[in-house]
Amino acid sequence: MARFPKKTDDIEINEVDDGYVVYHRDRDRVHYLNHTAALVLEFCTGENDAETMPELLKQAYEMESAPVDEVQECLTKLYDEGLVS
Amino acid sequence: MARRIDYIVPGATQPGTATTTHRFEVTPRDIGYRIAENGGHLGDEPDAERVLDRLYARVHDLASDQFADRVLIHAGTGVIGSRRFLAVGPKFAGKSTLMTRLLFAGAASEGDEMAILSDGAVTAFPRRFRIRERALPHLPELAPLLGDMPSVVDGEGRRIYGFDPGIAGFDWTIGIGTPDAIFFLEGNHGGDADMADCAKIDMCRLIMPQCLSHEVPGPQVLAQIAAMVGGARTYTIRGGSPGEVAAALIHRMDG
Repeated sequence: MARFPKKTDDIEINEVDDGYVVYHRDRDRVHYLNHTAALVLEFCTGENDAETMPELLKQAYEMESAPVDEVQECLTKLYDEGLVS
Repeated sequence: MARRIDYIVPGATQPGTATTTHRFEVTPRDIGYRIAENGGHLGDEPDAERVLDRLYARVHDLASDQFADRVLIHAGTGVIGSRRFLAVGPKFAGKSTLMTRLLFAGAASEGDEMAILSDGAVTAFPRRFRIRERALPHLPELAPLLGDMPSVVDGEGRRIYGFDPGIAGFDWTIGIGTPDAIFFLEGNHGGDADMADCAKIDMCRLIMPQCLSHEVPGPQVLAQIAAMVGGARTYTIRGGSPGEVAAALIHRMDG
């Protein structure tokens, strides 16, 4: 997985109140991302270090501690599904 | 024959004006019947039941062609007060029974099986409500009307009635509009009705398998469903008798 993950260009994102419905054109698959996963996906601009994302999420949700494991798991899934590279 | 064919004739007042007309004529012959469409020979069938099957299939194909560029959703549609709702669910989830129960509970039920989505608005696919024999205990109001309702027998010998709300004194009018609320019926009949808020992401996930479209590309189906869901309140309903589910739905719509 890239250190600076980037959202794949080959996806179409439909936003709803509590997340994203994402269509991956090349794989012809639909993904339903909750708000947290949607936020992580948005962090993947190619300019954010993956290691800083837990802190970004902590700030976004005003959490007490950075959700390192959760973000890593989320990034792994996004990568496995081809939503980020 | 006319009564039997009534099974596929909806008596609803529908929005818009007809853009095309097809005239079907069924003529008895020495053996069986001849079916003509717009003066041309459509086919010959040996008995009334086969005539109905042929007409049903043909009318269904014609309608499908008209709606090929729309998204169809397995859902009942109706209005309570001034608010439009969808009751989405797979086959045998109880949509027809629920929509009929709602009718007698004061809702303006417009369709029981398929909703047509276009530019964010939904309208009911016009067809008589299909009432299965096993649903009749939940719809005692239909008992005195059964003799007037056309019916068919399915492949397993069970009777299905074609109910036109007009024969029960209702003004059956099919409207069109954006849904204010979407309810997903999770089946699991029995027990108490349990209604819960449903996250919009989850509602999208539930609705997508209940959609079909011949010509709308997948991404556009997704976008339309997401937009529709985004503008509505969303709930799941699990369990309960049709009466309990109807009461819960009306209570939620009134709130």
